[in-house]
Amino acid sequence: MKKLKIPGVIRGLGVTFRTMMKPAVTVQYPHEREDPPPRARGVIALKEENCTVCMLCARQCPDWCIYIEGHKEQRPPRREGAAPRSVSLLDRFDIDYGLCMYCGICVEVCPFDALFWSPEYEYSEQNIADLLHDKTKLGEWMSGVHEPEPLEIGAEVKKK
Amino acid sequence: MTTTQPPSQLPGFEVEAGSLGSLADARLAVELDTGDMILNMGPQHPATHGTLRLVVRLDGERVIAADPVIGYMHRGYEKLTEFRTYPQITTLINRIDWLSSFANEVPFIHAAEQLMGIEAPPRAQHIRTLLTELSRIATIYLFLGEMGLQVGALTPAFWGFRDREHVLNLIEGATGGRFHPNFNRIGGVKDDLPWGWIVECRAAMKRILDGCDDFEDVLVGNEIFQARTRGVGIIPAELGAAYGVSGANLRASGVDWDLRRDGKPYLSYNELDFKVWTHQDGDSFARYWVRLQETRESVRMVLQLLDGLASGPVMAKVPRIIKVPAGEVWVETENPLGQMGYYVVSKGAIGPFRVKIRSASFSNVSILPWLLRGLYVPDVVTVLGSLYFILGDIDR
Amino acid sequence: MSDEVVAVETAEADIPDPVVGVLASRFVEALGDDLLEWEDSFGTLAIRVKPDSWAPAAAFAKSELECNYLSFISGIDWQPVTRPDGDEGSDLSAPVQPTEMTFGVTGSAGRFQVFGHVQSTSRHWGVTIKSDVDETDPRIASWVAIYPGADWHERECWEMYGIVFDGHPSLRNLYLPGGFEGHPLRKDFPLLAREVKPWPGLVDVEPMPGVADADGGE
Repeated sequence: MKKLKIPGVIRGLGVTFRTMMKPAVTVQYPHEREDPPPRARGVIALKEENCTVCMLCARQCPDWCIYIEGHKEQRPPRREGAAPRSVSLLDRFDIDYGLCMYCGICVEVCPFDALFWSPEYEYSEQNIADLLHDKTKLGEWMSGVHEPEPLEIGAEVKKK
Repeated sequence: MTTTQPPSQLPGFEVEAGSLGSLADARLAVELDTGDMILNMGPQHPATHGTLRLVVRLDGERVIAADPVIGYMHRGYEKLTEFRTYPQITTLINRIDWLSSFANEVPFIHAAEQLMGIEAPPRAQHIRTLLTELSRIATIYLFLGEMGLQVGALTPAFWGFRDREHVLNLIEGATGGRFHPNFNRIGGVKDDLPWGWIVECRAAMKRILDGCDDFEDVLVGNEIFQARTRGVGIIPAELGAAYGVSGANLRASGVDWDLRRDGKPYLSYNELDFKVWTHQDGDSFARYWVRLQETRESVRMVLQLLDGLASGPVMAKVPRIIKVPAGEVWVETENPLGQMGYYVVSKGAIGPFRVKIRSASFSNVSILPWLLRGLYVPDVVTVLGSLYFILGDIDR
Repeated sequence: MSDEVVAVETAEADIPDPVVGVLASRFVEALGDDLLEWEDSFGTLAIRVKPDSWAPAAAFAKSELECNYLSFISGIDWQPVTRPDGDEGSDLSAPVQPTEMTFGVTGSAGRFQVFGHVQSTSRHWGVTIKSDVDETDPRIASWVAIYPGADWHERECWEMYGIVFDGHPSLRNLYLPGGFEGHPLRKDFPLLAREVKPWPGLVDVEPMPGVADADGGE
């Protein structure tokens, strides 16, 4: 490769000078930001109208950080003359982000698509008790949820 | 803090014939009563890569005996796995070796799939292999940088973190998490790759290769680096194997053993063409050199995988509630830090009965009491860096 | 003799692994009656030996079978976990294991077993060696003279299960602090985190989807 035997220190200094000429890669947060990819697991958002209080997410959570309370109500039947149907409504749906380990099991097991991932990550608090997000706050995170993105070539096209 | 003890309690300080340069030295050595010092390289120490405590007994600056005290990060994984289901355990075991977290999930999921008798579709295997090699690159590239830090070169450590970000962005783009992907499922992987990922991956691999060349120019040829690492911490091959040292540490001692090629076939490694790098010296420099070549080899493997990525589904047909049939299986893989294995005992429930987690760093660090005898204190730091362990891997 | 036994034992693989059969026959030759059972478990040989042959089996593997690499040594407690069923606050999401004591491949004589895995870096085969340990006085020989790396594995097994390894230079705690009482991985040692916190999945339970009546849900 090289005819001359250049001492290692000199070669290293050559790398140093080359690197000095290149711009720095530092992103000056908070003035500049890098956006995480759409799939990034930032925060969990709740779509309350889809939730039927089936408790699957609270059961499957490895950390036991989802607290759910609900009650049943009677609704008028869908067609005339039938019995009134009972629906379950949420009283309380809290996720404790101090315990949550962002695994996504709750989002995956929800059979009614009530939980979604959003890449929002700037919600740190001064007080650790404020990390318990109630269902109003979880509903607000829905605005950051991305549509499912297109997949790479070769992926199986799922039939709707 | 040298302890001075009365002469009657100390062994005689033998002066070897011809060992001292001048008469003045001889007089000084005989007149002083010196004792051994116990130095605590405590759990908080920049060189111990986490909460490792090394209690060393020193004679001056030479180590006589070393006793690693571990367990500051013990989270009780094996007890936890007895109370959790398979998807929950997959989430947890990401955190054993947190730098190469995808590689921790692979043997466990493979064990569960073997017990169930199902196989993931080819595209899922390719994606798993891709992500495993990417996490190998991310882990070992950081080592290439921070090994310089152990011997006093500050800049390569920053390069290690900087170029690793590109690989972490790739992993995040595919799985949603930079450090803890939680992407493997029994039967395949959770999602397919997003659009544009392959192009980004090729660009990131080019950066990694350029970074490896930079490391070679800056560190490998550098006289200071060579003086600090050559001949330091030599692990003889047979002794290393008897201690359970694995991975690049053992390959640097000349043992040609890589579970991707030599163990039971897993993932897509039998479709790939790759070389296993060894070095004969067994010292810290050899370990660095082997890992540098392994990073380049991993990049070549990633490019091969991208060229030959299969199409199709990413998940096999599995029942909704997964009950793994009763049985026992031992699965081992070549993780970035060494040999990692899971011995899964199942009794037919939705979670295992017992999981024995064999982690690489546990055995790599168990050789320290033997390895550190006779070294100087700065060389202790070099050896710790070159063995490359992660505390979560030791302590589980 | 070994051919027909191999065909019975391998459930998953269609073709029995010839290497496993060869290794098994070498062990049978060397240990004779001390080898209680052996099985081909997914392509890896698993043998169960009498407690007195725990160290000789390892020595044989190291000297005659070129198994120079120690993978791990650990223990297992076969006793089933007793959990209160249907209690308020009990964790219904944790896996329910069988309540009767069953043993894995190669069986067991009682509650405790030690098992270790050794491999050959040159011949690329490995063997899992198991042995029973008496419940009232758990002692077994140490492998430290054969594989120096057994030092830390046996210390971990001691603190997690209480199994004493005769011949170990200094059997003391590895992970846990010095004054720790009890042996955590035993099945009668509870997982305190799950005992202390009430399970949040019990309040106002809705029947699972699929089990609910036709009008319920969205």
